[in-house]
Parts: sequence; structure tokens; C-alpha cells
Amino acid sequence: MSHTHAAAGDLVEVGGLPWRARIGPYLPSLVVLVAAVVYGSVSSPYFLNFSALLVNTGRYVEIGLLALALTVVIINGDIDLSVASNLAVSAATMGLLVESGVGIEVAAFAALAVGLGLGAINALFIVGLGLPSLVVTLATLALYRGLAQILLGDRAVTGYPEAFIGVDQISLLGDWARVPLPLVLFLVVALLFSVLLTRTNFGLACYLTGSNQQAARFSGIKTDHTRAVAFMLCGLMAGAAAIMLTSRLGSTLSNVGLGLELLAITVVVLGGTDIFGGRGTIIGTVIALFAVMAVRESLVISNVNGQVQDAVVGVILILAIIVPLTVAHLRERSSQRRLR
Amino acid sequence: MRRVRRSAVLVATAASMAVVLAACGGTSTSDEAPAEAPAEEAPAEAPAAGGEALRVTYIPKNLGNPYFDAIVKGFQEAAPGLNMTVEVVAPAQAGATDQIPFIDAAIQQQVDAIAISPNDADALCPSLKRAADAGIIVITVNGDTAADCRQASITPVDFSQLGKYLVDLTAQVTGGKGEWAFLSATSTAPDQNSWLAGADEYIASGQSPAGLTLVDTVYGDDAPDKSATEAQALLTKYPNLAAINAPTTVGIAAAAQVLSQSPKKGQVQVTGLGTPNQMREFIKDGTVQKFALWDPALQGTIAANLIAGIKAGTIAPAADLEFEVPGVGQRVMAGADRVIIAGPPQEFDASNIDNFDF
Repeated sequence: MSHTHAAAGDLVEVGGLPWRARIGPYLPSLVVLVAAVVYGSVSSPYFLNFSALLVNTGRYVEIGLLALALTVVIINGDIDLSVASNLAVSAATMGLLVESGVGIEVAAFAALAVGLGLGAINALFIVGLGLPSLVVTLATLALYRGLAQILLGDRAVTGYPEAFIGVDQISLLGDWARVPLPLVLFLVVALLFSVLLTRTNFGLACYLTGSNQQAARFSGIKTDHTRAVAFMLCGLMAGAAAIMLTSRLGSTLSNVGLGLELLAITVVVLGGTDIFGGRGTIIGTVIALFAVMAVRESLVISNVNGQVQDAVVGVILILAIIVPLTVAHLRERSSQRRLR
Repeated sequence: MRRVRRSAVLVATAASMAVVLAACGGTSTSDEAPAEAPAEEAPAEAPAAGGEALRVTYIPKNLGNPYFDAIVKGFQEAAPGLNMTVEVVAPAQAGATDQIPFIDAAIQQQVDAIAISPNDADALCPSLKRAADAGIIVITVNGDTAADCRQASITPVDFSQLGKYLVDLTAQVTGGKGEWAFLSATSTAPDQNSWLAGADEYIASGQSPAGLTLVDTVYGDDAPDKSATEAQALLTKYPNLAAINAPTTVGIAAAAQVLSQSPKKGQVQVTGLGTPNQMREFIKDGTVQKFALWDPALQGTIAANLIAGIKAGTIAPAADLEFEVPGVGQRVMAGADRVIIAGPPQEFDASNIDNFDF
């Protein structure tokens, strides 16, 4: 992998790049977004209903929150497969607390704390003991999900106060534009993550750690600290997503959010973040979230069944990885030929 | 430079948004029905003349499941006569929240009614209530949510009477005398346990056939191998056994398999609850005389008629409301929860098994 930081967005000032190179990392998700919108509008007269689409974004915000933090983890050269299981434990904790009579604010705060704590446990194993993140988080994917099942068993927690239920139905700006509150929250968090990655030393450390961990460490970057913080951010976002999801559903089950980690990773990779680390942007992840959403929504509104939807998302992910690699490879070859 | 690069992205995003908005202007998304429905939405059977066809979305738990396919068949056979089109969509997994996008899509499509076999009693409620707020008729089929999330619910059979029925079914196949045993699923399955308790009550009441003696209840954990082992053990343990009653589709098939290769075939009867497709060979080879389940298609038929009636205003869901289902008969929305029992258990034997495919 050649890691030119031009693609990382804001690290290196690059002059005179053609526009193609500038939007290059975002091209796959933009193509998918436009293609899905075109497909949706052609196949169903009900797809292009802007306010309905806007309301439906509420369902994708949880995936989006996970994807934002995963972007940082993946830029570091790590992976966190346990986010959705972490979400389930956070949600289960919140549910049990509410059931035992604790106020919803305290319970929600506890969800964030549990999420952060489970993220810290991941960090402890990965950074503290030097184990590979793929293996550790594969283990905690099962461990945390099992924990949620032990906490809740087969039953559902439903005793949430009415005022807490339905955050996705709250919209800002009234009837003028029904922008759901979760979408606004997501965009604010995305902005914070973007600032974190592009305007802080931490962000710089992430890109350097992901490009070449050893070199970064020898240059005085606290790579351990950087990676640990990223895992804890992931945990925190899992806690936040747990609150959103619980509010949307008004109930908690131990299998809540099952499989969300795969969608979130799909979003990150489609958004141009290099799965091997060192490259990636928040804006890419945000665009990719809308692209995945457009794909899902256009398929579901065209009455395409679940299995086919899953397959389509899988194909898109593979294409999103293969096509840019192939294009880059071809371009490199042709420029080499020119040099000769 | 940084600014330039970012603005390039913004332009691209804005461009795609512009596509969205421009297309919005050109497409009818208001309450007036769209001028042209896409080809795939057209019903297979042309709707009866007069008036716009009722648009119904049925969301089963999942697809490729013969049981739910049978419900769909009931729906689709009733639809043309009711001037109704039925769209069937389902998620890949049967997770608690997997049906939500399909409910939201149905709302967006402004369908007339949603029928759903819910995967979860609670998680779907907010979405279903939103559908109701949008003026969509919501009913549940073969499974239920909280009663305030739907107008009515259709349940396949009267489960409170099923325990008694299972004893009577055993009496039918044994001539009303002999030792018999239950082969159940897991010892913690709530539905199975409630049926077994119902059977015990019936026996304790003294009204059950006097010649029958329930000698044992064993659990096959709904695993074919464990169920077969347990069935085999029953044959060994009770030399005079007259019948094994397995009120679980896995258990009855496993017990029939064991018996079909046993010298006791014909001497011991296997009965209980099973699906025709699983049990067909055992009926044909004489291992099994008679078993039961319910007819899932009947739920689809009743659902289609119920929706049409609610839409036409001839049925206004209320506690204990009686209504007529053409070709089926009188049905009642029992209790404040408005639960409709589709019908009595459906019995299968050599004379009728080929009429069923699920």
C-alpha cells in the first residue's frame, strides 16, 4: 500500500491536483448515491418523497454514529467488530436501570459509561497486551452479545417513559423542513469528529499511526494512546447509538442491533477509508452513509426482499473496493509508461 | 487548496441533491395517486372493474418459508374478488427490528393496509402506530403485538383449547384406549407447556376418554436427533404403548421416522402437530394415520376479507364484534384485544393430505 496523504484530505497541502484526484476518494460513494437515487425514482413513484426520506434517515443515524468512530479506528489501522454487541450491553444496562426505577437521564448516562468502559476493555487487550484488534474484537463481539443475553434473557424491557420514546419523530424547523433530531445530532457529531481528525494533534497521530505504526512511534507519536482513545470513542458512540435506538424502538431486547457492525464497516470502507489504515475522511463516511441509505431505501420501496438487499449491499462493497484499486493500478501503469 | 478540494466535494453532493429535488418536482408524491404505477406493482390478477384496487402490503416473518407462503396463498386467492392487490415483502432475518424498514416503506407508498406477522411484540409498535396515524389499516396475522398497535389480530387456532384437542386426537387414533406419551419440544417452551397443562387439566377433570392413560412426557428439544432418541426410548420403556403424541413439527417427524423403521409400526400410533409436507411420506406408508395443525391459508383469506371490510366500512373493529367472512363463515373479534380465531385445528389423513402444500 502506498500511502500518499493526498487522499487523507487535509494532511498535506497538494497543489495542482486534477479535480478527479480531489474527489477521487468520494467518487465510489457518490456514484452509488446517485445510482441508487436514480434507481429508486425510476422503480417506484413513492421513492422521491423528500420529507419521507428525511424522516427515514432516523433509522440510519445509529449506524452513522458507529461508522464515525470506526472511521478513526480504521484510519489507525485497527478494526472494532464489537460495536453492535457493545450497543446491546449498553442498551440492556439502560433498560435494567429504568426497570429498577432509576431516572431515564441517569440510565442514559450509564449507557454511555458502559459503552465507554467496554471500549476501554477492548483497548486494554489490544493496546495493553498487544493483541490484534481483529481477534480481540471478534472475541468481544461474542462476549458482549452473550453478556447482553445474560442480562436480559429472552424478555423485552418496555417500561420506558413516554417522553423518552420516539426521538426519531422529533423534527426541527417544524413543517418547513422536517429535519429529524437524530440527523442533526449525527451531523453535529460528524463535525466534531471531522475537527478531531483534521485540526488536532490527535488526528495527525491517527493518520501517522495508520500509515506506519513503527515509524510513527519512533517519531515520537504516542501510538498506543492514540489507538486506545479511538477504541474508547467507538465504545462511547456505541453507548450513544444504544440510547438513540432504544428511544426509537421504545423497548430493548438482547438481540438489538444484531449485525449493525457490518453495515457500519461497509459505510466506512465505501466512504474511501483505507481498510489497511492511514487514509480516510469523515466527510467520506457521511456521504457513504447517505449512499447506503439510498440503496436500502430505494430497494425496500421497490418491494425488493431482504435477502436480495443484503446481496446488493455486499456487491456494492466489493465493487467500491475493487474499482478504485483497479483504476489506480491502471493509472500508475500508464504514467510509468509515459515516464519511460 | 484544502478549501478547493472540499468545495469540489460539496459541489458533487449538491449536484446529487439537485437531482433528487429536480426529480421530486417531476414526480407525483402528493396524496393524488401517481399517474402511472410501475409495471411490477400491477397485480398478477387484474382487479375487478370499478374503483381503484385496494393496495395491501403483507410482511411475513421471513420469506422462503412454506408456512408463510401458505398464508400468502390465502391472501392472493381472496384478493381478486375483493378488488385488492397484495404485495409481499420480508426481511432476510427474523430479528426484532428487521421488519421496520418495510413498514416505513409501506407508509411511504401510502398503501391502504398493512398486514404483518410480527417478529417482535414491542419493537414494531412505534412504526405500526405511525402507519395508523397515516390512515393505514394495520392488522397482525399469526402472531401479535400489543393490542393498541393494530386494529385486530388473526390467530391460527384457539390455543387455549389445544391441550384438550390433543388428548381427543390421541383418542381418535387409538380408539380411545391404551397408554400414550407426549414428545414435546423443550421443557421451557411456553406454548408447548401451556398445551401440556391444558391436556393435564382435561385429564384431571375426568371428562377425557377414560380408556387413555398418559404415562410419560419427554422432551426432544426440537432437535431431530434428540427427538428420535426420546421416541425410541418411549417404545422400549413402554411395551404396551398405544400412541406418541408430539405437538411439535420437529418431534412428530422424528417420531414417525423412528416408527417407520420399527417392528412396532402399526401397533403404535404417532400423532400430534406437523406440517403436511414433512409428514406426507409417513401418511402414505401407513406409519401415521392422522395428525393435525391448522390451515395457514385460512388466516390469509380472513385477513384479506377483514381488510376489505374495514376499508369499506362494513367492519368496524370492536370488542366481540361478529362478522361474516364469505366462503368461510362467521368469525368473532374476541375480547377487548380483538383477536380472531381463524378456525378449528385442521386434521390431515390419507384422504386430504395432497390438498395441502406447506
